[in-house]
Amino acid sequence: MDKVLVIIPAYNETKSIGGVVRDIRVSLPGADVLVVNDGSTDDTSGEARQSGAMVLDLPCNMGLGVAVQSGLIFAQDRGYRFVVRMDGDGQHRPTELRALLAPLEKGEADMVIGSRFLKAVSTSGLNEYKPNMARRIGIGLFSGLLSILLGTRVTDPNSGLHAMNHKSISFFAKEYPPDYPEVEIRVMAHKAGLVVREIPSTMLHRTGGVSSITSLNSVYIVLEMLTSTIVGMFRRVER
Amino acid sequence: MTRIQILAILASLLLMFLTVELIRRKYLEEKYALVWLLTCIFFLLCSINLEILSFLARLTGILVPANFLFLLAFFFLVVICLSLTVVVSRESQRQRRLTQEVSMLKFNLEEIKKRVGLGGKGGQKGSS
Repeated sequence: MDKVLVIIPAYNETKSIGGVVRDIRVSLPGADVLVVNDGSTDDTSGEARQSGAMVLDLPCNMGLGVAVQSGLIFAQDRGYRFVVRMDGDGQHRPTELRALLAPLEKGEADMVIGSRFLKAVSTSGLNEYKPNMARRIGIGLFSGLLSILLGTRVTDPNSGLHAMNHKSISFFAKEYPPDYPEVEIRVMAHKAGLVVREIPSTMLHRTGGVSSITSLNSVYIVLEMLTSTIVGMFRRVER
Repeated sequence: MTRIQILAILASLLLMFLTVELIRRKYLEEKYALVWLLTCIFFLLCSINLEILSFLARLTGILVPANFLFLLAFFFLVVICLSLTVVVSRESQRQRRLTQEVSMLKFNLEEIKKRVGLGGKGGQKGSS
């Protein structure tokens, strides 16, 4: 298999990070795992090292996008061919990574995104993630908006499960939105002419840690994402 | 010269002194200081010659000169705030870049340390 790097941005994920790393090393034995510790106050870094991951320690908490971008710069520096970005809280399933990489290996896409709302496989018996009402409205809003703006069907605008080939890596290593990047990168990828494909994926309930989005700041976040999406459509993107 | 005029002149001079002192102690960079110095000079001129303000107020059709001053001050503060957020955004972009660079350097250092047998925290895969 070609050189693959799995990037896991992590902030205070001591409980889950070790298990996630070990699962990836079982499911994808040829891949390297890089945990980007985003200034955690707990022992996320030590836990990740112990389970056999490489660890980038950011000196302070810089936000999800900055952590992911650090991983992308790392991948670019060290010549990884493909990159997978997944969560460290156990919500994404390492067994799905192969399917995520397949379209890249066949050269059918530059970026593959695991969508929770495309259904192809039976998910019975799994502790599947069900977003609450407020989230469903938010997700619906953005998938509608993106589908119109990008002229292609977007089912899961907030997915944090991505795979990228070299073209996407070098594009996003240069510029990546620092906060709540998921929606904005869809716009950026579109403007950069990257071929993006969604494939079905299952997301589980988190095994540890807390969501970065609380009800208090969610309205502001939605407005922020809305602004960045619409402004993003008018921005010039260097290809 | 009226009492309020003397007060205004003194206040302008005080502000100017403060600005110069801040520049002298390097608390304020020259490129940001210039706009404050110009403001001080404008205040000073306005307090020495009251006609300036009345003239400007007549020019813009504002009845009371004081209102013109308030309007001007308000616009000025909005512009200053906007430029400050621009500066802050730029600084945080640089900070992000530096943070990433630091983490990368730390990683490489650990790796090299381990390779030459100085021991490290065990950052590399398969080291355990």
